[in-house]
Amino acid sequence: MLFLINIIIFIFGYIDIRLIIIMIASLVWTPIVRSMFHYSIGEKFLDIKQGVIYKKTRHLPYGVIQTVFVKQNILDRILGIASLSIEDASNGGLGNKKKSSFFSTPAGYRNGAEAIGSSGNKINIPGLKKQHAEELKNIILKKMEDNLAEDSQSGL
Amino acid sequence: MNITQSPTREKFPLSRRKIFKKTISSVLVWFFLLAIYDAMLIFGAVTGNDDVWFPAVLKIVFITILVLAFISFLTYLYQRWYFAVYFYDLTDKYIIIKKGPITPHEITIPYERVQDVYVDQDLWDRILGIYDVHLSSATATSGMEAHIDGVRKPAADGLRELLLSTIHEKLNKKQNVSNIQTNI
Repeated sequence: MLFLINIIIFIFGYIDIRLIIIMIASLVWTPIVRSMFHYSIGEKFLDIKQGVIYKKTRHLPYGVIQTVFVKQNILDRILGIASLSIEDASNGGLGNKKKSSFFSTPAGYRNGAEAIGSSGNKINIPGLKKQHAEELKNIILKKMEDNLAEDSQSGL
Repeated sequence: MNITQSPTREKFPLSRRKIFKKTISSVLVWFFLLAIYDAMLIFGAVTGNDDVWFPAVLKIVFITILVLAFISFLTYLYQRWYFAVYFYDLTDKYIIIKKGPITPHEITIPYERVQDVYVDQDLWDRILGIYDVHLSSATATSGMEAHIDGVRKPAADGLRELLLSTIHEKLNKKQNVSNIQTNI
């Protein structure tokens, strides 16, 4: 913490109280968001519970999952973690686009930053250990295979 | 550098021309940026009060060539690395594509979900005689991420045939199963 404050002093040359407040807020806010984010592999659905103020519960049938990603950005590489993303073919509430506010980001993407949990047609589970991400991916792929939706033929 | 091999990549290899394509196309961008910058510098030198503008121009051009050579070298090394870790595998059940040496992105698509398979070429591909094989599921991101680019014609045709036949087979199998189920 002191280190971060020192960096701010180094960059800006003085302590800006607003910056400190934003920083402390984000340091407190992120663990809360993390602790309120739950995912579980259910019998028929992938269950997602998330949200601190705006709550969201999502049940994704395995049959409609289209694509599974495992991604690592440069920080993930350094920390040895990976994020697992799952996409279905819905337009994921982009129809009722909300304006972003301090407490909620609109459904969809915020400037390419990876949101935690369900947003748009994507469920993103960040911060998994690389090995756990692979294991979870395999479990989900297995589930997809066991629960193929009847009418999801590609037509090719 | 060790090349990440998979059964599919052994059978349908990536062309080494891909390295040159990527290097040339990214160095060209640098070339144009530097050319604009140089044009301004040279304009300044020529219109300036200095009588001996010719050596100054020579110096600018020389430095630019050095910088470009350095950038090309670094880009080439990076692209070779990228080429080496480029992984694609058509397994029994899924299509797995993984790329990016520093920030790896791995995409897994089951055959049943593939909506689209096509082969295309851009200008550099035409010149170098290589092809991109694209496939995508119903999501926008998969369309952007899932492509195998930089293969020669036989490999491109082979990949396309293999993809299409596997998808067809999978869907038929599934259809038969569901027909049996409905009959019962």
